Order: sequence, then C-alpha cells, then structure tokens
Amino acid sequence: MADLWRTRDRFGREVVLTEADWAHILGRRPRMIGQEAEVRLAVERADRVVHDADHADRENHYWRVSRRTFLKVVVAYDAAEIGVVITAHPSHKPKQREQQRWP
Amino acid sequence: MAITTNRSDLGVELESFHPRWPTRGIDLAGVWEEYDPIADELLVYFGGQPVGAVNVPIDSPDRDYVELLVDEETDEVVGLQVDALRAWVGRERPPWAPLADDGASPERRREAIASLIVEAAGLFALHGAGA
Repeated sequence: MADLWRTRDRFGREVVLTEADWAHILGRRPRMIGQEAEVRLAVERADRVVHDADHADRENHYWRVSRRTFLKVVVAYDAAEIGVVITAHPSHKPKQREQQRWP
Repeated sequence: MAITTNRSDLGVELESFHPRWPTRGIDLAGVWEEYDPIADELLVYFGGQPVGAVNVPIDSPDRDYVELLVDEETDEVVGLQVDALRAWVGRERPPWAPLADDGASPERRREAIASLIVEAAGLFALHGAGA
C-alpha cells in the first residue's frame, strides 16, 4: 500500500496517509477532493489536538481553515506511536466529550 | 469547492452555522448510507449520493455521537454522521445496530435509517447545533 505522505504531528510522532485510505475517504466525502496537502498541514500544525471521544487509540487534529470551520483529521496510533489517518473532514467544532491534549 | 486556507482573518471568534432541517420529505428509498468499519463511522446522505458538507455536532451534552452534515453555502442539513456505531452506539441504540451489520437485510437497514433520522431530527429540534 503506497503512502501519499508521511509527516510528524505536534508531538513528533510519525503519521501516514496511504493512497488507498485517501481514495476511501474521497469516495465518502467529496468535499475533501484536492485537500490532501491541507490534511498534512492539519496534522503538522493543528490548532488543537484532542483525545477521541469514543476510541482510546485515536486523537483528532483540528486546524482552523475558515471563520466557522476546522479541518478535523482523525488519527489512530499503534503501540509504537505510529499514526494512520482514519478519516478527515471539515467540522464546525470539537465535540463536547473530546478532551483537549494540546495546547 | 476547496477549503479556504487563507488564515489571515482567523483571529476572530468562531462564527456560527444556522442549520436548517430539509423542508421537503426525505425519501428513505433514495438515501445513501455506508458504514466504514475501520473508522467505525456511518455516513448518511439524504440526496442519494455523497455531497460536499461540513460536520456540525448537535449540541447535546451526552448524545453528540450524531452530527449533522451541512451544506456550507445554504446551511441545509444534507445528511448525518454517526460515530462509534459499533463501539457502543449500536448497543445504546439497538434499532441502529443493523447499520453496522453487512448481513442486515435492506428492510432492516431502511428501518434503522428511519429510526436514526427521526431521533436526529428530535435531538436537533431540542438542542440545536452550530452555535
């Protein structure tokens, strides 16, 4: 499975987006077409990182992209703290149950 | 439409969405729905196919697992997202469990979608979203 990109998140952990996962995301979310570079920037420069409300192995990276919208990138981390992008989409704001990790 | 990346005006407070529930009836037979087992996430589009939309959580303190999918231009609700469907929502809401089950019949899936849409509409009417 080829990588679209690999980068580091706010905590220096490696995060990968594969071509197959990106194609899967685009099939469900046409709003994200052409936004793979923004997804990478959201991971690298997140304005806010939160623990996922429902899955203990996931963190959500929020990067503000407009006056009323964040780009939300959901990343699952394994035991070695390698992260894989699970999904990405524009979101108005974090959920109430998501606990802030950064800043 | 590309996501705006000009961040020069982002020092201001987050502006609100004003989601509007669709006024025309939702044709259950024409609803597009797909469960992603990796993300554990269900997406529902009322219009029959995925369209560009922004996720807007319903402002319910303990039931924020349903999010509205909102057309950014019109603020109309065009679909729904349910998170953690297999992890726990399906147990909390048994009528929705078939949506995470590949083997569920089309009839059971349609019933589940109907239940989801009714509850989402009720939560939205009660709590609002987008503030």
